[in-house]
Amino acid sequence: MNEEIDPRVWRRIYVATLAYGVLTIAVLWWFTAVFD
Amino acid sequence: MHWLDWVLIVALPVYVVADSVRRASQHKDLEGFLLAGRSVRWWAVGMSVMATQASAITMISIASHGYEHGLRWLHVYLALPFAMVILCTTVVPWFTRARVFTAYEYLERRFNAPTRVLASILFLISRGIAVGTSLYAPSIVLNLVLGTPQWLAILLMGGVSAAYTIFGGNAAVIFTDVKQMVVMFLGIGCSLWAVIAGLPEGVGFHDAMALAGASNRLEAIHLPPDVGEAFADRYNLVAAMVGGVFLFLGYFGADQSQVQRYLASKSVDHAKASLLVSAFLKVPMQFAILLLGALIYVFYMFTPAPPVFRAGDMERVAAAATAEERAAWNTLLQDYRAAADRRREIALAFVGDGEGADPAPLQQANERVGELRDAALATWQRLAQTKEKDGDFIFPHFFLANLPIGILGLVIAAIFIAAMSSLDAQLNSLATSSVMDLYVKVKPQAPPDEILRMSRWATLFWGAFATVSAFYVAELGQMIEVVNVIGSMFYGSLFGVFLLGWLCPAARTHDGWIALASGFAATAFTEFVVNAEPNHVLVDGKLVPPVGFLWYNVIGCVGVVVVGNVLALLRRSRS
Repeated sequence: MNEEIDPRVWRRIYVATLAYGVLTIAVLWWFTAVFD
Repeated sequence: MHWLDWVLIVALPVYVVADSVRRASQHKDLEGFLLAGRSVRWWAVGMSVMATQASAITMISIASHGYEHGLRWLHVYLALPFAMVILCTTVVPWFTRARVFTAYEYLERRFNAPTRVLASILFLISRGIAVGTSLYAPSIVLNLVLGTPQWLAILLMGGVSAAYTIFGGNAAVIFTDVKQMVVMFLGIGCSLWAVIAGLPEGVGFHDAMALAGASNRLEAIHLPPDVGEAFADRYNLVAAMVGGVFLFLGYFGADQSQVQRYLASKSVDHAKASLLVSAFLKVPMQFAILLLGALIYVFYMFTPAPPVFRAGDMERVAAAATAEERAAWNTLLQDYRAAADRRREIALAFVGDGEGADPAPLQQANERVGELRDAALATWQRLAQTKEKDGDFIFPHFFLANLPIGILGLVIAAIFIAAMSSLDAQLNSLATSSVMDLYVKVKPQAPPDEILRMSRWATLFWGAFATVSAFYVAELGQMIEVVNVIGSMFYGSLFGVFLLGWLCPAARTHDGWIALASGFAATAFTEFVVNAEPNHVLVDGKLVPPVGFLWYNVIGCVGVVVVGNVLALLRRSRS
């Protein structure tokens, strides 16, 4: 990562991170419904 | 304890510290000491960011929290990926490109010197109070393992951490942190394996999950039924998503102990990537530790456990009590053992019934055991004349009695390294802010050599401060909650003044420190007046403050932005 990363790549990384956050909550919601 | 465990307990921390100081030896100038020469790669900074937040408390207190309350604590971290994206697009590029030493330098450029000084003082107070808790947690372990007095353990850990931070600076901090996270992940994995392997024959992982679920220990997402509970209940999805975002914006965007980690990155991209490491790994890590606590709760359904996890203390206290008090204690102990035996039978029947088993008898048995445990704890507190609880002793009690040779040494070493690597980052940042934001303001002509020397002295001072304050934190409650409540009182306001700088171009000069002071005053008012004991409300059968601590971050931040805007408007209308 010595050269600067293209801003468009960063945008994709941010979208993936946000999607991961939403997915985490969805999985934990499912987990609670199944086990608790 | 086996000799192999002793070798691991001594050798691992010694190796971690020695190797980190060796690697740090190339950074000799001021920028090298404070920011590792701004040369560290993203994965190392990312591990350091995680390690700074993951102290010994993380393993001891969060696992114990999982035992007592299940997975609810996980709510605190759910907002992390969202907050990290906001930070990567705002503060991280600015701080890194501006080549500042502290986050608060920005405030002087944007507002004025008093704003920078006030922000630094608020940071020093909040971090100074929290720093003692990093030492208290491992002292519990040493006390249980060796019977070493907690004061001696605190002195030992505080002394070692301060010494290598003074010599190695930020580079030593970061390299210690990387190794801490590796050892910590190993420790968590091994402990999970040990608790599952320790279940009785015929009770498998799936049964343990069913028992934990029936005992209300697996609620990872809680939706509040009404607005009142969204505010009062500490752990719910609404508070987590709103309060949590502000908490992490404040913690990673305005707390020097974290900002200093990514300021050491070799470029803006490396700094941004380092924060995303936490965004992806933090929730799974916390989930694993909390699940470990919930499974320990199930483990003790089948294995006898003392009613108070400070069993050694309890025997000593009972021995010194009057004959009448001893008799009452023995009766309580018998009732507790009978209730625990009854619960074991019910748990086995629950497993035998398979899917569709009725959880009600198990829940009643849990309630009975819980009542007797509370009574025993109250008796111990009365006899020992203390307000201390035993929550942080649950996980240490489990691993000392149940982990196999080698793994026990690894877990204890992980706790010691975690304590040191969290403390070192705090000492390093406290020293940096004290010197760069306060000392250099008083003596602006100080040459770099003098600033470097003062940074080492400041590290020594904060090391001593942490050691002394560690003696007083035990009575505050369960460590992990204490740290977050204290932090939440400051982070919102601190981040709010940065936000004011970006959102309100008309706010300038004195608006900064007046708004910052107002935001902090609003949070303090909430903590000490709104949340005072007479105002407590009933949630889940317990009296709790009407405003949960995660909301402090929102109150502080919004307070600063509103007051700052009003001041700017007033000035504009006057002119």
